[in-house]
Amino acid sequence: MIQAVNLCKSFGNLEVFKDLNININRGECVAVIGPSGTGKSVFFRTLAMLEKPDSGQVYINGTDITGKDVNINKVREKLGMVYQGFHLFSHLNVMDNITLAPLKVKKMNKSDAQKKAMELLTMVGLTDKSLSYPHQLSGGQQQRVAIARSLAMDPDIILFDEPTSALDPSMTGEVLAIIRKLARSGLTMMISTHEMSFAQDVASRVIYMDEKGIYEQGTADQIFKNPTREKTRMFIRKLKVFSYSINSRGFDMVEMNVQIELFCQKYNIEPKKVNYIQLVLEELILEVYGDSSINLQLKIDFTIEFSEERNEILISFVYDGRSFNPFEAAEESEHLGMVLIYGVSKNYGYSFENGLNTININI
Amino acid sequence: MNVNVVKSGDYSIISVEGRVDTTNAGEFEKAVMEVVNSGINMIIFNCSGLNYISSSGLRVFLIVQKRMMANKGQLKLCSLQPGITEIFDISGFSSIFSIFPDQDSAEKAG
Amino acid sequence: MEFFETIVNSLCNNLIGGNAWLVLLNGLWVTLLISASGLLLGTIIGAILCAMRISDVGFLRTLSKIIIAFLRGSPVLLLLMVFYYVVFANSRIDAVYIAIIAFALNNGAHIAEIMRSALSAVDKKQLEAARMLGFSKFRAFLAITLPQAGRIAKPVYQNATINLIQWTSVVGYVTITDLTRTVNNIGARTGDPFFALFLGILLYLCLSYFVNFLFSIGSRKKEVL
Repeated sequence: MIQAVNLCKSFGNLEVFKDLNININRGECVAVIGPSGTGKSVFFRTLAMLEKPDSGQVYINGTDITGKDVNINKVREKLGMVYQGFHLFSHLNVMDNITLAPLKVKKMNKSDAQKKAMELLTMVGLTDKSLSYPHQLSGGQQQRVAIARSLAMDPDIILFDEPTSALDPSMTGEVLAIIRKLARSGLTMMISTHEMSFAQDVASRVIYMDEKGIYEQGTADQIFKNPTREKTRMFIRKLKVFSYSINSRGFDMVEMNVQIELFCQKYNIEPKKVNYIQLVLEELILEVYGDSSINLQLKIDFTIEFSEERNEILISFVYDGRSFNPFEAAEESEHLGMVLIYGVSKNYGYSFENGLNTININI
Repeated sequence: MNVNVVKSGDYSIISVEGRVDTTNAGEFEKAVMEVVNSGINMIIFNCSGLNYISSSGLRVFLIVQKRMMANKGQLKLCSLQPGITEIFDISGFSSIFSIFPDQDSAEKAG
Repeated sequence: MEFFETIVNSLCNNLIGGNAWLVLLNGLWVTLLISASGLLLGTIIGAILCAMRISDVGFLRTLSKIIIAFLRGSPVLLLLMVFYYVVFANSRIDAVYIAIIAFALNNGAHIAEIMRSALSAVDKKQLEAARMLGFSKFRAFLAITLPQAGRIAKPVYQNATINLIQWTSVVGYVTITDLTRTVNNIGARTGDPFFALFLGILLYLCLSYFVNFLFSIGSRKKEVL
C-alpha cells in the first residue's frame, strides 16, 4: 500500500531520519509514537511529498512518487492528511469545506458531493453544523470536520499527524472515537500520537521513532508490555532520567545538589524524595571515597530514573576501581551513612562486572 | 547553612538553618564547638530551619553530645521538621538525644 | 429671509452663472477618471510588485523592494511634477494621462504592501491542506489563499482608495482642471470662494461615501453567506 525505502531527510545540518524503511499494508492501523522532535511529523510530511526527501523512495500502490514525472496532485487525492491544528478553510462553512475538493478536484456534481458530505457529517456526528463556519466550532468539532473533509476524497490511506495534541483533554475523546471507528472499518491509516492507551488498543502495529529512524516496532502488546530496547522502555514507562559524572574526590557537591534539585523540580518530585535522593547519593559517595584503599581519582557515574507513571525513583550508581561492596563493609562495622541508606530505600542491590561496581537503589 | 546563637534564660539557643551535609559539616562543627568551648553547658539546638541533614551532620551532633556528657551539661534538640525527625529515627539518634516539639517545652523541661 | 436670499444668490452665481455646473461636472469627471484609472492600474502594478516581492528569485525581491521603497517614500506631488516637467516634458501626452501614470505608480506601491501583508496573514497550512486534497499549487491559491487575503486586505484597500481620490486634488499643479481646480476657478470668478470651496469639500465627501458604499455591497453579500 505505502512503502518507504531508505528514506533520508535532513534540514541543513540537522538529520531528521536516515535510511528509514517501512511497509504498510492495506487495512493496517499503524501508530507512530516517540518523544517530541524525533521527526514523526516530518516523516508523515515526507511520505506525502510535502517535504522532499534527500534520498530514498516512497511507493504508493507500487508507484514511486518521488520521481519528477509523477503527478503529485493525483497521488494526493488518494492520500489524506489530518493535522494537529485542523486547518479548515476559514472562509468556507463546514459543508463547503467538505465539498470543495470533491467539486473542484474530482469534478463531482454538486448534489452528489453534498449528499456524500452529509453522510460524512452524520458519521462524525455534526449534521447540525453544516452551515457553521470553522471559528464557530470547538477544537474537537473542527478536527471532526477535518476528518470528514479528508474522507470526502475517498483516500486509500489517511495520515493523522498528532490529531489530538492541540485539543483540550475534554475534547480528545470525541476525536479519538471517530478515528477508532475508522480503524475498525478497515481504513488504512497511520497516526502519530501521544495518547498511549489509544495507540495500544487501536493500532495493529506500533512504531517507536527515535535516533533518526524507526527504533523499535511491533504489535501493540510487544511495544507497550515488553519493549525490548532501552529507549523504548524509557519512553513507554515515562522515565525521566538525570545523569551525572564525578571524576575525583574534589568534585563540587553543592553544584551536583543544585542540578538534582532542578531535575526534581522539573518533574514535580516531592521534596521528601528529593532529600532522600540527595541523602542516598551523598552517603554512597562518602562510602566509596571514604574507603581508604580506594583510588582518589575514582570515577563515579550515576543516573536518577524517575517513572512518572509509577512514581518510583531508581538510582543507578556506578564506579570503577576494585570491587568494593559498601553493604558488606557496613556489616563489619557500624556505618551511619549505610544505616541511613537502608532506612530510606525500598530495596537495593550490588553487583561487580567488568571492573565496574554497580549499586541500584529504589526509593 | 546558617548558625545563630542567642541566650535565652539559662540556655544558649543554637538555631541551625538550611542544609548540613558533607560540604559544610566541618564549618558547622567549628561554629558549634566555639559555643561549647566557651564553657556553656546548657544548649538547645533549634532545628526549625534545618531541612536536610546527612550522616556528616549527624556526626557533629554526636560529637557535641559526647562533649556535653563529659562536661555534665545538657543538650536538647527542638522543632525538628518531619523529614529530619525521620532521619533521626532511622539512624537511631532519636533515642540518644532529648528531642522536644518546640523551644518553650525544651527550656521548661528539667 | 435675507439669509436665504444670500444662499440662493450664491447658488445661482456659483452654479448656474456661466454654465458653471457643466464645468463642475467636467472637473468631477477628471477627478474620477484619474482616481479610477490610477486605482485600476495601481492594483495591477501592485499585484506585479507584490508577486516580485514574494517570489523565490532574490533579484526580483530586491528590485521590487527598492521600487516600493522609492515610490512610497516620495511625495506623490513631486512624482507627478517629475513626470510632467522632466520625464514627459517633450512629449505630447495629455497631462491627465501623466497624472494617471504617477498616481498608478504611487498607489501601486502602497497596494503591493497591502497585498503582501494580507497574503502573509493567511494561514499557510490551509493552502497545504488544500494541496493534500489534490489541488495544484495555483488552484489552491485561487480557492483558499486569495479569497482570504482579499478579505483581510479589503478595509485597508478601501482606505487607500479614498486617500487616492483626495490626493488627486493636487493635479492642478500640472495644469489639469480637476474638481479642486474647478471649484477654485469658480470661486475666483464669482468672488464668493467660501461657497465654491465648501461645495468642493461636499463633493469629495460624497465621493468617499460612494466608495464606502461600493465596498459595503461586497461585504454585505458575504455576511449573508
